[in-house]
Amino acid sequence: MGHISRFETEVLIIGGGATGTSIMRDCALRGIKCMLLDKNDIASGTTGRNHGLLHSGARYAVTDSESAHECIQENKILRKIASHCVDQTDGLFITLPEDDLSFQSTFIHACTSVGIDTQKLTPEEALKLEPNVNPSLLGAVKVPDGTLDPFRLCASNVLDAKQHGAQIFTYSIVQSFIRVGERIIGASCLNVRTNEKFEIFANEVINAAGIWGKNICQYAELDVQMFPAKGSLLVLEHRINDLVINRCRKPADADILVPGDSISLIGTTSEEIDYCEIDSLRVTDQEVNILIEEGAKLAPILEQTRILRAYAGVRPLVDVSGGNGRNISRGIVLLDHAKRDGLTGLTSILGGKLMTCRLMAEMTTDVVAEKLGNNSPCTTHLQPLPGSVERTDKQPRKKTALTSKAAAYRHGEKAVQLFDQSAKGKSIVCECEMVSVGEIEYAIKKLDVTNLVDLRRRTRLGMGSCQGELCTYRASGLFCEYGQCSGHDSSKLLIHFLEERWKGIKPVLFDDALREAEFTYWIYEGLFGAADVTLLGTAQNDEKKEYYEI
Amino acid sequence: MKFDSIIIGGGIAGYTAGLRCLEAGLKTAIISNGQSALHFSSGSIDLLSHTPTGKIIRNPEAVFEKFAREFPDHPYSKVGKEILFESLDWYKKILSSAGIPLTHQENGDNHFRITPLGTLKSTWMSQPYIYQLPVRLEEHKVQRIIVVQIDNFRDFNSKMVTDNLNQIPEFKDIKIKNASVSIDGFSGLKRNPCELRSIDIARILSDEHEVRSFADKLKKIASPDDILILPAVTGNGDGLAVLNKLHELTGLTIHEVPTMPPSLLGIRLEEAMSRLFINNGGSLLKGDQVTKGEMAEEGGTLHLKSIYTRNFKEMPLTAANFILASGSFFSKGFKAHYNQIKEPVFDLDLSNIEDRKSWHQEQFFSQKSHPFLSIGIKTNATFNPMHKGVVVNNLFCTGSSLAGYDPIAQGCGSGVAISTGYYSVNQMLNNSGVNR
Repeated sequence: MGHISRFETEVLIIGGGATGTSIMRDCALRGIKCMLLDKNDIASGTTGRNHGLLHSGARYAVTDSESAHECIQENKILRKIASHCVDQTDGLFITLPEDDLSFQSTFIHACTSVGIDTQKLTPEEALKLEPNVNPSLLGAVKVPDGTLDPFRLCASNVLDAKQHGAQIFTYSIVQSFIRVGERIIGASCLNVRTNEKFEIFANEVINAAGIWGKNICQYAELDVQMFPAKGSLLVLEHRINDLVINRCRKPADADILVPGDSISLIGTTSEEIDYCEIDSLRVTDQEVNILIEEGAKLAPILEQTRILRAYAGVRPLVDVSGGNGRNISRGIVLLDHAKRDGLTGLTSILGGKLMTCRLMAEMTTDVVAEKLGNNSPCTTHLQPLPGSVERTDKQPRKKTALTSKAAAYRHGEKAVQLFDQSAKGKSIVCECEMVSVGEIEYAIKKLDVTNLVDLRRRTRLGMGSCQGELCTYRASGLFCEYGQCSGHDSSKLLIHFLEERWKGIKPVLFDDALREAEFTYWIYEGLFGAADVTLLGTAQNDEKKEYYEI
Repeated sequence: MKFDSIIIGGGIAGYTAGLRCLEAGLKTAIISNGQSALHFSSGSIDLLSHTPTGKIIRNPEAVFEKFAREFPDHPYSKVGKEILFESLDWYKKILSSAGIPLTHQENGDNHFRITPLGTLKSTWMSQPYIYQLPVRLEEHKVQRIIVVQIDNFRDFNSKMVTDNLNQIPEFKDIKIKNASVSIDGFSGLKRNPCELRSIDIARILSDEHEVRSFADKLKKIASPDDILILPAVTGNGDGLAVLNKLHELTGLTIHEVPTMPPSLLGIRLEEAMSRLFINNGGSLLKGDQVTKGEMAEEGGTLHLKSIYTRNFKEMPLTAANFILASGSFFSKGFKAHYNQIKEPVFDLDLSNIEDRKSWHQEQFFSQKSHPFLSIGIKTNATFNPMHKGVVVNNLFCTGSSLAGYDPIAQGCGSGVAISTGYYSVNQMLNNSGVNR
């Protein structure tokens, strides 16, 4: 290998999830030079694989008042600074005949004591607000839950940070740390798409890699025990509920139904898995069963609703016992390795929730800024993210809007003004989610999109009911135009996307999901001959050929 | 209502059976529930491109006997060589009479068609504006390929075609390039011209003036020795008329490729068959769906007496014989429930695939075919199905409702549809149970 590029910065952040991108923004706003590295795309780990629930904190009020308090604080902040990522739907905690109605008063009391507004509703009132809720409910409590789009949140963090001088490297891994004695001064990195090696020298390195943070610590020869817990969810074809629906009882499996843009999500299961399984999560048949069965108790219509796909994420639980036995925390774990292990230049921020990402960033950046001698205060709770505007209406957004309306919701109105406004720019690529050519051009050029899966994370392209049947082909062609991709490479992007989508479809391959899969296969293999694209020009293509003769 | 024969399903198998019944002088109805798979098909007739074990077949006729011996469960093995080729000849004849002449290689070889992604698919019989590349690709006589990008058309991308074609070793010495062509009628439209689908463009190009202007532009970018790859954007209701005109005006060698659905190449076949069926006196019950059937026991076998449909509600439709051509999952010929697959109308016995995990492969584009594509109805040698193990003697299964083959991986979907539709009517006519 010839030349290795070298970069210098004050802070190197490892991990482009909600926490990492929030740190990136926090540093940038404080005038700290920073670079962020992720082994994949932003929001491609746990961040993008959960409910996207804007917790009010009510879910934790009874069992974990500290988390509940953090949630309601952050809830209020995110509504202000990230209004374009938030849908202020409100949430219901319902009591079913099989639940203990007396838990309701415990619940309300606990919410009140941490500052979460509650409103007790009769079954009739609840049904009026949410017609699809299980009509046999005994009672309900309304709380300020909402939804939070994690992809949009991360993309906005990055956009703002970049506008303040920060830099990002996606699809890049740390291969080793660069050390001088007991000090880490940087990392040797590899871009896994281009196979280019590069080095980043930094005064401070922040490990914000979530569940993968254990590996990062190992590169520094540090031991952190983490216990991955898999959570599986199902995506339903359309939005069956307008309010988040929870069970008014202690948290359990499959008891949250969350509306999100044009779909609804039911989740989650919880299963401890081996650390070696974190990159090959599978949703089992049994989990699909539980999710449907339990989900139908929240909204009976769920049983008749088509399931689009299944996915799973890993909760990054940390053992904070220090080696003696197990004391697993679901809270925020900030490890200053200089203090903890005598290794300077590295800080780990682990555990936590999507809801507390900004707070985690503030805590981490405070520690690191002090080491750098930077006294600027944190402003991330005050300054709105790009695209966030104060919304006056409290109504949930309409599910299908015109492209510009949909795009403004996704990227903020300022960004939409930058879109190509010609007839071509305005033409629709994805009809389910109203994504236009102009929006895709913007995403490819400005939002670090390198493939169709990245594009889906930024724009929701292919996330609607057709699951990208027609639009992925159209969008892949746009990578030739805006992404300096050859036609051959863009065909490969198309196949990559369909393979990624297949992962989520396999666990629910029945009913309409199977119909749709057959249709997709007919088009892309029967009509288009897509399977051969990856073999073109390779030796495998010739080896494969075996003729049937008499 | 009373018929001699009722066909459930309006795809290629259903129409084949329907047209054959009419030829035999039977009073025939086809019940068709909306769009068939033809709306996303290539419009070529695939005969047999691969064995179930993945070996490439160059000449289906030459290897037929061996194939039938080695794969006795394949529908072709039941149909037999003679009927198979007789049915294809017959199909060729009737489609030609309906204005869609189909041709194949004289020696009976398969040929390659260039796909919308610039890959090659093996097929057997094609419409006139499909350029037939030899199955021994090194023998091709192509000098130059021009791929037409219609300005602002989203559902076809010429760059993907050229760049992938360029990866094919046998094409390394030929020039392959893109050329952009605009359609006059795109300007002055009320709607955004960048959002038109193939079928909308077909409407614009049905105008004589538009065709002439389009032809002039094509002449500027290609010469008669070139292969001109054109997305299929003509022939919605007018068959090959526009393409014939384009060919006549330009003298160019046009190769049509299907676009994202709707595929006009497939629609053309459906329209031709549907028109023929109606002109020949058939009753086409479009947009209706069979809901249930009534069977009676008859000397150890079952006899389907009548069927009911969504539109006719409680009024039974009766016939001496019935043909099931209801397709697979997409056309709702099968329904997949959580852990089992069912034939929803008569609850016929299916080939056994028990565990949902085994319905598919790990990879979507896998070297091995997905088992769900071969799932189908178990039948006897004359394609009669069974209900709880008892044969239904006057019901015949055809096309993708049959078990034992993968239409895509084995490249035999339309061939099986035509031959089993044809064969079933033969069996029906032989059937002693026929009472006309």
